[in-house]
Parts: sequence; structure tokens; C-alpha cells
Amino acid sequence: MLKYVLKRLIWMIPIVLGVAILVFIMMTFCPGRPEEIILGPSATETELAAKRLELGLDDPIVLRLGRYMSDVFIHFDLGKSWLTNVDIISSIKERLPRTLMLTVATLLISVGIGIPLGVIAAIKQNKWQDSVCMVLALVGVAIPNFWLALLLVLQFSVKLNWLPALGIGTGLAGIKFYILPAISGSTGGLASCARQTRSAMLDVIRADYITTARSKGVPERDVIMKHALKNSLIPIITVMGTMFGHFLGGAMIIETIFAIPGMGTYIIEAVNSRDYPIVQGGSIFLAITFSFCMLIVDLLYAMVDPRIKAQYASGRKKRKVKANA
Amino acid sequence: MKKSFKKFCSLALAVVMTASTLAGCGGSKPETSESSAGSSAAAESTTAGSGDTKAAATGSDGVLDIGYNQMVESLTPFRGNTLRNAPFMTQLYESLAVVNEIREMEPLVAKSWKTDDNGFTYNIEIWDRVSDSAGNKIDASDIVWFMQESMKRALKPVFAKVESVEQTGDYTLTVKMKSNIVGTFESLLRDTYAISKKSFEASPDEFGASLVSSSPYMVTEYTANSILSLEKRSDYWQDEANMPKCVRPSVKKLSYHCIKESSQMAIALETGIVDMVISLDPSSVKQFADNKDDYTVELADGSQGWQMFFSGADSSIVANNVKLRQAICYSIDENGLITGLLQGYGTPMYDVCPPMFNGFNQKWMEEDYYNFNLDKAKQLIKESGYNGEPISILTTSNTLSQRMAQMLQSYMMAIGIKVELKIVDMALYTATRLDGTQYDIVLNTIGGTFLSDHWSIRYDPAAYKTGDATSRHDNTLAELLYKTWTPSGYTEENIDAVHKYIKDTAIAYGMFNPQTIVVIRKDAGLEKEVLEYQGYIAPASSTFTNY
Repeated sequence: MLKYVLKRLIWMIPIVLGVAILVFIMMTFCPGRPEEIILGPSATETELAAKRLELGLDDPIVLRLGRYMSDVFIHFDLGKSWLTNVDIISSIKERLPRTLMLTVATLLISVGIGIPLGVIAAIKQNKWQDSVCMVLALVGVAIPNFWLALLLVLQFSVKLNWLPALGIGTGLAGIKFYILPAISGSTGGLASCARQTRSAMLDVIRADYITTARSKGVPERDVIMKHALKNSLIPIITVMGTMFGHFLGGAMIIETIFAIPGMGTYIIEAVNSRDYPIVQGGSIFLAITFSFCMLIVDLLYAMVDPRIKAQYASGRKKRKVKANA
Repeated sequence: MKKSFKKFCSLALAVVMTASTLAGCGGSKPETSESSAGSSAAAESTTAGSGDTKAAATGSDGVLDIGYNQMVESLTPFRGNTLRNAPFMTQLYESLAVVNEIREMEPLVAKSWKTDDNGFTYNIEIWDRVSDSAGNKIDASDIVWFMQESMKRALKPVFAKVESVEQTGDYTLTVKMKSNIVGTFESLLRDTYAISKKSFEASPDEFGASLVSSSPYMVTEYTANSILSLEKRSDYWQDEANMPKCVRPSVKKLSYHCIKESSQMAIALETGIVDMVISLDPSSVKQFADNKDDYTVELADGSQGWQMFFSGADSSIVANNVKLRQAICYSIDENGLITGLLQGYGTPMYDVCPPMFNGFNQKWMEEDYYNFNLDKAKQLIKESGYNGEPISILTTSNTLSQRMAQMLQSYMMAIGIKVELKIVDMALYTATRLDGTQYDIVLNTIGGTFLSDHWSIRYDPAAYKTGDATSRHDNTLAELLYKTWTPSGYTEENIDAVHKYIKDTAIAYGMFNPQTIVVIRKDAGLEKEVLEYQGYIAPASSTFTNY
């Protein structure tokens, strides 16, 4: 198992390298001149040319890419923002925890409500409870999260004054700042999770071993929770993994509405102002975070399903057998 | 039966959920009267209607909370022109001089300055007791260092116009400029901060997140793009009576909250998260203007205005057709734009620059500046020989620009002009706006303090590779411009000649000037307001009962 983890960690290296190269090339071919954005409309051609030279934008792309890769992967330096001259690693260190907090909270709500809804819908298939759950899921997918965000703010911040409308806080008191953003961002994920759970449960619930369990007199609660749900978890975990990536990269709208200075707004602002080092650095960080998340998903597969665990371990055995032969 | 019951339940649930969700949309106060926006007073109070506000009481923490719609991504003193006009900049760093509410320079760290060669060389003397919050003395060597460092980093274009800077004494320095265009040295004074080199070099992040202040305030809390809190220093070096009114510290503690989303800005004000907001979106003003018991709405004429510039590239259909350009200018209903785009919170323009610019002549406001006249526009379009070729308008993809372009398209179609819109993102716009071959009309908003700032950016044929900012080579205009650039040539007569030329040839047209909307909660206790140079209230320098 440990070897599998190590193997996956090694595989992350080419993935991150690939992301770095791809983002670098995409930003290079992106229309727009960064030096004009930095210096503003009053800069003359001479000043613009000097700035281009300073930023190295006139160098061949291969040279620039080589320099960038060396800075990032040999010196572990993502550089500084072209606009503000602030160190990118320190900015990411400050912002990433907020985005992660928002992402985790959103995921917890999506999963915490989505899975029970899906289970209920499956065990009460074609009954009114199923319809209610699926209508809820449909509404969840259909509601735009920026709209829901404003409605929640009006209700819980303006009318009831229970939760803060925007901003961030520190320590435990800071958690309340994430409640409305997380709820607003979770509806889509909640709906997907509910639908996926229902579908997976329906596949399992008709299996022979479930019938056997029931005929043996196992209580229905245990049949559902221990036998059916556990065996349905693989597709649900897969959805959770992709949802995590979706929330991580798509937090920009929620961050803007709730004035949360996170990674989403950081990268989008940088894209708009062609601040290449921030876009590249931010993307690399998100790629690393997402890769780790996918690794965790794979490990969860092994935890949930012993067959997969056996497969992970069998790689080593096969090699041993080959060596003996 | 069972099936229909199931359907009924599902339908009922869906209806209930939709109704409850939509219920949140309503609940606004009844509309009682129109907001009295739209007048052109430089800073007027507007209030109307009544209603009850149940926002939390403010003032209990002694901090004046201000909502602002721009991001504060770093506190670094070395930055481009972004946030140059932000209200907190004067509380972060103290500059050699500031622009006051009547757009005149007033010395701050500098004691005096003079030139003996018509604006090419300046001798500056600074106060001899300047010190920062860490106790470091600031002398001429620090100012020279800041200027040289700014020249090296080349983030603000004004520093590229400095030839050299030299320390001539403990508190004196000499600055040689590459050009003597009126306003350039003044910009330099404004953009040169008094920072101790020693403090800066000791900072691990070049003052990115924490700084040693030389201003009357020090930073107590800062989270990038979220909050900036400041507190009045007890060890400030200058006697407040010697300071310009617009930067004199009055409020003891204040916090700026970055809120980009316009409805959240209004909610923050309504719920008492902030005591006042600067630059509120016009779409959110009505609820506050209608409730004069709880809010004060102040309107200040903007400092930039929106202009349309006609391409000067020979390939453009408008470049050599004055009548066509004039027809377009006459076809535009500027009041329609103000109502449609800004809910009335704007003023028409009388020149390409708004009246706030230094050098603007008040008599221009009485002239006919292409006042909307459809008949005249139709007559001119006939005379122009326009052949139905489409005219392209280049603008950015932000909401205001897009809507503006669409309205202009309708106005021009009303006189038979075909219009194509080129709506692009900001970076692409920046890359193409100086190339007149890419568009026929470009929409822009240009800031500055002096008329010459605007003119040198837009109409100097020597400024860019392809000519002026729209690829035009107009030497007659250049002659007129160059006359106004020197301090001795910056006369009413010369300025008027440039204004008249631009107006008559219609190479550019000032459309409207959005107002800056400031809303203050009444319970903040505003007693005496002080205006800053952009015409709106300077929060730190005004007097509030509770702060």
C-alpha cells in the first residue's frame, strides 16, 4: 500500500510539470500586453519597451519557459507579482487555507445532505419520498449559486441578523463567515451527490447478497447502511473527488460575492491583468492540491472495497512471482 | 389514486420551494419618491423618502468602517497606477505634496519647491523633522532613494520622465525632468512617498503586508483584498495645523472593507457592517436616497468622464471625414446615456475632460457641445457622403462599457449608420486601443489632474509608434498642444485653442461623467465634512461624532 502511495506521488511530478508547461504556454499566447496593463495608458512606447525588456517578454519562449521551470522546480520560487511585486508563495500561503476551508465546508454540506437524500430516494423508489428528493436535487442543480447567495444573505444577515453577510474572521469565530458561502456553493454538488447515490444504491439494492441478507433476517437498517450503502460508495467517492476539484477551482463567484480573499479571486484577477507569474503559480498549487485530493480518493477506494486494496497490493506480488519464475 | 397523490405532493413541494425562494426577492421598502440625483454640484447631499432601518447600531467599537469597491492586494509603496486615487493611500504613505479639493498642489512632506528654467529643473526642500512610526528620521537621502528606486522599478510612468535626482543637502534635493509638460512635476510630487530606506530594507516583504508609516496613521490590521485598519499615531511628526485640510487626521480609528459585489456593498451598509460606502453602484442607491432619516447620500462629479475617440488611421472610414464624426456626436443623447447607464447619477460633458480638471474653462459649459440633435445629425450624415460601411466600436467587456456600446449603436443606427461592436476583455482592449486600424471608435475613460495630462496621453503624434493614441498624425493640433505644455504657455488662450480645435474637428467627444456616490449612515454622526481632490468626502479628515 505504501508503495502504491509512493508510486502515485512520483506520478504527480509529471502531472505538475505538465500543468506548469501548459499554463505557461497558454498565458504566453493569451492576447494582451502585460506591460501596458502595468504601466497604464500614459506610458510611452519607450517605457513599454523598457518594461518588456525588464520582464523578459522579448526573450524566446523556450528560454523563458526554461527559466521559469528552473525557478519553480529547482529553486522553489514562484516569483513575484508583476503588478504589486508581492511574493507569490506568501500570497498563496495566505489565501489557500481560506479556499480550502470554503471547499471542505461546501463538500461536507453536499455530501452530508446529498447522500442521505440519495439513500432515501433509492429505498423509497417511485414513492413520494423519492419524488421529493429528486425535485430537491433538480432545484439544487437549477439554482444559480450567486442568486441563492444573495437570497441567503438577505434572509440570514439582513432580516434575521444571524450570520455575517461577508468578510472573513479568525479562529473559531471565523467559522460562521463560511456558513452562507458554503451553503450557497453546495447546492449543485448536493444535487449531483444525491442523484449519484440514488443511482448507485438502486444498482446494489437489487443484488443477490442484499436479498440474502434480508432473508437471513438482518434488520433493514443494517441491510441499507452496512451492506447496500457501503457497496455503493465507490461511485459516490468518485463524484466527491471531482466535486472537490470543481469547488476548488470554481470558488471565484462565491469568493467575490462574500468578499473572501481566496485563490479563486486571486487567479481570476491575475488572468484579467495578465499577471503571468500569479496565474502560473496559482495553477501549479491548485494542480498539486487536486492531485493530492485524487490520491486520497484512490486510498478511500481501498478502504471501502477490499478488492481494490488487494489489487493495489497484487502489483507487488505479481512482481515477486515474476522474479521467482 | 396513489400515483396522483405522489404527483400532487411533488408539485406542491416544488411550488412551495419556488415561492419561498422568490419571497426573498421582495420586501424592499415602498417607493415613495425619486432620488434627486443628477445635478452637477460637486458634492451635494441627497436624501428622500422615509422608511425604517433595523441595522445594527454602529460606533460602539470606535472604528469608522468604510466600504470600498477596489481590492487592496498589497501595501507596497512601489506600485503601478492602480489604487493611486484610493482614499486610503494618503493614510498609508505621505507624499511630498497632495492635490487638494480645488485641484491645487499643497506641500506636505515638501516644504517648498521652485524652478529656475521653466520647469526642467526643480529644487525641493523637505521638512527637517519628518520621522516614521519606527522612529527613523527621514531626510533628503530617503526621498532620493525612493525616486531612484521607483525609476528603476518603472512601475509608475511619471518616474520615467525624471532625468536625474540628486541630494544637495540634508533636507534639499534637485530633480531634473526630461520634459516640462505642465502637471508632470506635480504628479511626481504626489507619487513620491516619504519612506525611510532603513525601515523599508528591514521589512521582510517590502511593506507588502505590514509597513512602517510616515503618515498620521499606522496600519493595525491588514488582510489582502479584505480589510485594512488604521489608527491615528500619537507620535506623528507634523503639527496638524500645517497640513492640508484634505489629509489632516480627524478620525482616530478607521477600517476599509473591500467589497466588490455591488449588492453586498449595499447590504453591508444596511446591516451596519460599514458606516459609509464610497463608490456605491448607481443601481443600489435608491433605497438609501429614499430613506433620508437614516442615510446621507453624497454625489461628487467624477474625475475622469467617458469619452469616444475616433480612429485617426487612414484605413478608418471616420479618420478623414469630419462631417461623419460630427454627425455621430450629434446623434448621441448624453442624457439618455446618463439615465440608461447610471440611473441619472452622472452629468453631461462639455469637453473631452470633465470640469474638475485643472485648466478647464467654465465658459465651455455655456457653449453648444454637440447637444443631442437628431435633425442636425441626419443633415450632417447626408453631407458626409457616408456609404453604409459599418463602423466598429471597441470597448471592454465590463457591464457599463457593454451597455454603453449597445446604446451608442442604437443612437447611430437612428441616423442610418451601421455599427459593429468589438467587445473584448480588458487586457485585449489595452493591447489594441492604441492601434487605430483595429477600430473606428474606441470608448475610454482617461484620468489626470491637468488638461495637459490628458492631451499628452491622447493627442501627441510623437507619443506612440503609430502616431497619437488613435494612430492620427495631426501636426496642427500638435503645434497647439506643445504651446500649452510649458508652465509659461499654459494660458487660458492657448488652452482654449486646443479645446476649440478638438471640438470643431470632433476627433474625440466627451459623453458623460459618472458621479461618485458616497452613502453615510446617519448614526455615524457626520458633523463636518472635508472633501478630497476627487470631490468626495475624505473619511479620515472629516469629523464624526462617534469616531
